[in-house]
Amino acid sequence: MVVDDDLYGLAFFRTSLRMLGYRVTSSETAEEAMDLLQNESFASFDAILTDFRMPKVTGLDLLKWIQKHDPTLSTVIVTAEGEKNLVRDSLRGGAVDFLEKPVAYPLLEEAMGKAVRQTRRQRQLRANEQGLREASRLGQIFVAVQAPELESRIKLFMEPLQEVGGDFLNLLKLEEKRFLVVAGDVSGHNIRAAFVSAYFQGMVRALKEVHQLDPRQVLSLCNDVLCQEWNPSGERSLSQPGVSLAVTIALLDFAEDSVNLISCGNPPVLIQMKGGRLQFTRNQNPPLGWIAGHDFVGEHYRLSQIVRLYFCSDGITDLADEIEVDVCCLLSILLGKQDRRRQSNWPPATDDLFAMSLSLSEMEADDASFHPIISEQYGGHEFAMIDRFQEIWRRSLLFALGEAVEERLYELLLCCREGVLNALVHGCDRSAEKTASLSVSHDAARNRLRVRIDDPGRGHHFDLQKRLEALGSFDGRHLGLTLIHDLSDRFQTGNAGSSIVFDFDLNHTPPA
Amino acid sequence: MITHTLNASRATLDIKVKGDILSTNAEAMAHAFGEALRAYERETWTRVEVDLMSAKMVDSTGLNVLLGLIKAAKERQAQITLRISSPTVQRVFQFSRIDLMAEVLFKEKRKRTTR
Repeated sequence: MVVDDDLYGLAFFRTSLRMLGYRVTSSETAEEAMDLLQNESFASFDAILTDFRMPKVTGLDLLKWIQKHDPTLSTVIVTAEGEKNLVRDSLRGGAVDFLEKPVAYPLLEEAMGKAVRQTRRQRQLRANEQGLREASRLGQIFVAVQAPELESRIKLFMEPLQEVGGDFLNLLKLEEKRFLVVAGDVSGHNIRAAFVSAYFQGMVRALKEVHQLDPRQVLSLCNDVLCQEWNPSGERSLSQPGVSLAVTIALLDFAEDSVNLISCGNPPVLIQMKGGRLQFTRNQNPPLGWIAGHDFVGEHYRLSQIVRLYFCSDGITDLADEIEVDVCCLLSILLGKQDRRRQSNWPPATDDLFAMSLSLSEMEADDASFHPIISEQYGGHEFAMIDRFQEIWRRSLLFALGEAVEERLYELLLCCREGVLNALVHGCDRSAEKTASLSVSHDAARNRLRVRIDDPGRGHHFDLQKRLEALGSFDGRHLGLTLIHDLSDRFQTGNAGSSIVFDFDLNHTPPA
Repeated sequence: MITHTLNASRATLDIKVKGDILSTNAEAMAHAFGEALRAYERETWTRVEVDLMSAKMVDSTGLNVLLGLIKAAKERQAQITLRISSPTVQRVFQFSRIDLMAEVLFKEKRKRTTR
């Protein structure tokens, strides 16, 4: 559309543009142009050419109005000679180009060609974004569960930082009783990230047809593609930001009773074992796209020993650090039925949030009713930092359970403190080479907490539990463990005393 | 960590403890109790009252510190009273039988309510 109150100018532009092959609509005022755009729709125009100086509504006013209603429609402003300030204002206002009177035909051709191309490019981008948003909303790209046998075992929380993000989850059936879980996070929070995410998932879904698929082969192949095709080397690596993909893969083989876990750039996988122990995977690999030819290392577990697996993106661990709580309690809240997030005053997330749990044991098993609140590992030499550890436990318990734990909070903290100190000082001999672990989980239905503390020591040559039951007075021996035995509602030892498990019934307030 | 005064009219040594008695401050706490007793060793007192009202926790090492204080007071033929407000500390004192060695007075603090 050409807009000019000067009829000679209008005729010149109309004729010139028709000669260039454009279909041209003309308008003598900005108000008339606005009416035309609204009546015939913005989409029917590829570019606007407008004179600046017009009575009442100027070309700059028209440009601002167009930017407000359809920012994809490009505008070229025509100014008189020497109106540099107008040129600057026009460009700031969103004009793609300007022409100075008298307008030369080649310059008109160039400016209008550029404007039309820009409009088409902007409209294509907008269509792509809308398509991705729609696909994201429908979960078509980012969550693919193609294994109905496992669908009911999954709990999922996904919250992209922007409308489209790079987080994804694929759950694929490879063969009978053999499944592949792929959870990933592409660097960035934009369409590019979403595109790489879709690209990677396409590769994985194609590879699943390969007989006896080895997940390390999948990772190596995708790593090489990302290194070679998406992450240029040399000078290009400075001008074009690279793409990396943090991914966690679990190969579940129910026939062989095995789980193979490989984590690349993502936080470690949390494994809830039978018997109340919580542990994270130890082997970490770099994200895909960083090191060409990397040999990916995984970890094997017996599937029948696992209650649940928890995957999360680093957005979750960052948020846990920010709130200063154990990441486990954050996972339990995000994946739990009760949306405590709405009740709490959380800081805004700075990354995509992705969390998933996958139940592997029978739902009715005792262990399956517990969900992790705290999982920590400490070196034997860290015993003097017990106050700091205790503060994280306190914050995590209150964060996850709120008022439900308040009545027995300090009894519980005291027992955890005594148990962990005992494990670090005696089980680990205060050595940095040895580690003890603390696992705390909660059964929401029974409102019961279970604490497990493990150390690598040899335990005791006597039956610790019987000894503690026999100790009835303050004689100084095993005083810490005696307190745990007396304050908790259930106490058990294992591995000759190098593992202790105790429960707190939060419905029950002991009589004073 | 602690403050102490001698109430001569009641012949009582008052010791006020700020916070918990735990493994991480036990050594310093034991030292502070010793200093308090030595500060009044030439005075006459027959009673020690320990204010533990701000303690939410006393752990096993902390119990040993209190046991040391109880023994030192008894060597001076003095009675000892522990004033507490935490149900957890009360239970710990019951289970460890420290309540047989010292008088324990429990008074729960009123919970603050917010509107």
